[in-house]
Amino acid sequence: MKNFKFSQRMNAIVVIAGLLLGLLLGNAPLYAKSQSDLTFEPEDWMFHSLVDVEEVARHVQIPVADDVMIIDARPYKPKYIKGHIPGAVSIPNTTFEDGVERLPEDKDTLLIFYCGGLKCKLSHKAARKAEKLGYSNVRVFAEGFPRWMEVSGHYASVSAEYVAARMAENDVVVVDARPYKPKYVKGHIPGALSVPDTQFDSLSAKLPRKKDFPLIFYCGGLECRLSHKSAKAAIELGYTDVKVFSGGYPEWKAAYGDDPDTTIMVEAGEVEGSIDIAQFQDILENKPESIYLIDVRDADEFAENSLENSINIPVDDLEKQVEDLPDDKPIVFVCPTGARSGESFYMLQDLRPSLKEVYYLEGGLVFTEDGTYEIKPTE
Amino acid sequence: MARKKRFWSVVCIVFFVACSFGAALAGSEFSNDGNGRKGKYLYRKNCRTCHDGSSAAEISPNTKTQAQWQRTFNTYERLECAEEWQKMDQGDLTDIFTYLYDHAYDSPQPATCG
Repeated sequence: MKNFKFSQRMNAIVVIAGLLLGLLLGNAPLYAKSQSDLTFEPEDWMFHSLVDVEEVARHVQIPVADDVMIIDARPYKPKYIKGHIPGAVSIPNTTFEDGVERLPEDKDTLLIFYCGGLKCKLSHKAARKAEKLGYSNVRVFAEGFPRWMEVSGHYASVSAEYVAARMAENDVVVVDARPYKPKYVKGHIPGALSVPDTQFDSLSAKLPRKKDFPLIFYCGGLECRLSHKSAKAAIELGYTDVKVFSGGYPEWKAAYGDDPDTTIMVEAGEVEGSIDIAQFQDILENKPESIYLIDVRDADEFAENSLENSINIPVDDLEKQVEDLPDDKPIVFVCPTGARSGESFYMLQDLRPSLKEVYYLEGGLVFTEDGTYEIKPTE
Repeated sequence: MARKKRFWSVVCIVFFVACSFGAALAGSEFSNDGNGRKGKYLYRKNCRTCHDGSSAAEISPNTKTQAQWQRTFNTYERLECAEEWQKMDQGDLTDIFTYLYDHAYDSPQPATCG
């Protein structure tokens, strides 16, 4: 009898222990991994709760979840703008007090701080400050941004300042992943290439041939997934320098307005409706964003080669899109001989005469194998 | 004397009729000095809508030689799409002719997709 009672008690203990264990394991994803799972030995000065890159990756989602905030504790310039974990908010440790208002109201929100790697103390300091403010669920991703970028398939997000600086150097291709109509046509970052995410497979030929050429994808802001999907698709295609401008067009407009100094007076060529060829070449080289460059060849021809800032509307499809063409910049039609572009010019004259700034390239536009082009005046 | 006078009257009438006919022919002759770029669009707008393969056979500039286009334009009343021609003025027709003639089968630049 005594033995039976003992055995019953033992069973109860085992069941309770099992329940507690189950509860702990079941809740494991909500909490930091065991410190012993980390691939490095935590230093004494480090924050008490650390997470690894897998844990961080689980919380990187677009749009960002309400109950998680990933915080970049490095200086905004130059670190954050040049590259940060997608969805991360910038609250530099050195100006933490100024950034407090960016922290969530709910003190139970999971906060994950990171900075520049295992030697960097900024995220640990900032995490302690957050805890002092009453946040109860604070972690530090100690391996930080360098570890994030080591993982295959990961990419960085960048800010508007970085996009503008790279575009000014003309050493990047900025890709608008939003639908061509109505989004891109209504407004886009000057010089951006339109490769809608929904057409990525068919239009990816517009991307540079060199797989190490820098690409920056953007779409409609922090809630928009399109640029992230396209970035992943580009990485799968083999592109090695892929970034996402997560703030997208809304952030760009807020920073630089709808239309930075892109106005231009187009000089007419000798033939009716044509653009002066010398000025056209100058525009392509120095101010490509000042015109809407519309390549009216068929899609397969366009996919083979095209001018950097051109968009493709085959002449056979143009009639259906005439009413959607923008009127805030001059339109210039191009094709290899002037035949289809001239036809396009006269189509607009007939169907949308209110568009006054419309031109076409009267001459041969010849692409060479190395991706360059040559313009030959009509003889 | 009267017979001789009548003879010369007939000769004059025949000459006058011949000259008028010749002038009329010459007037209907199309030249390729119009605007071929505009003609390409007018051809799309006015011709291809009728020559769509059902109302009339599909055509393109290189389906005929330059001489054939000249004959076609001189005798368009006989064509299936003759009604469409009435809607266009002489300038538009000249532009279309210029496009077709300049890219005819035996032209230096027969029409391609471009």
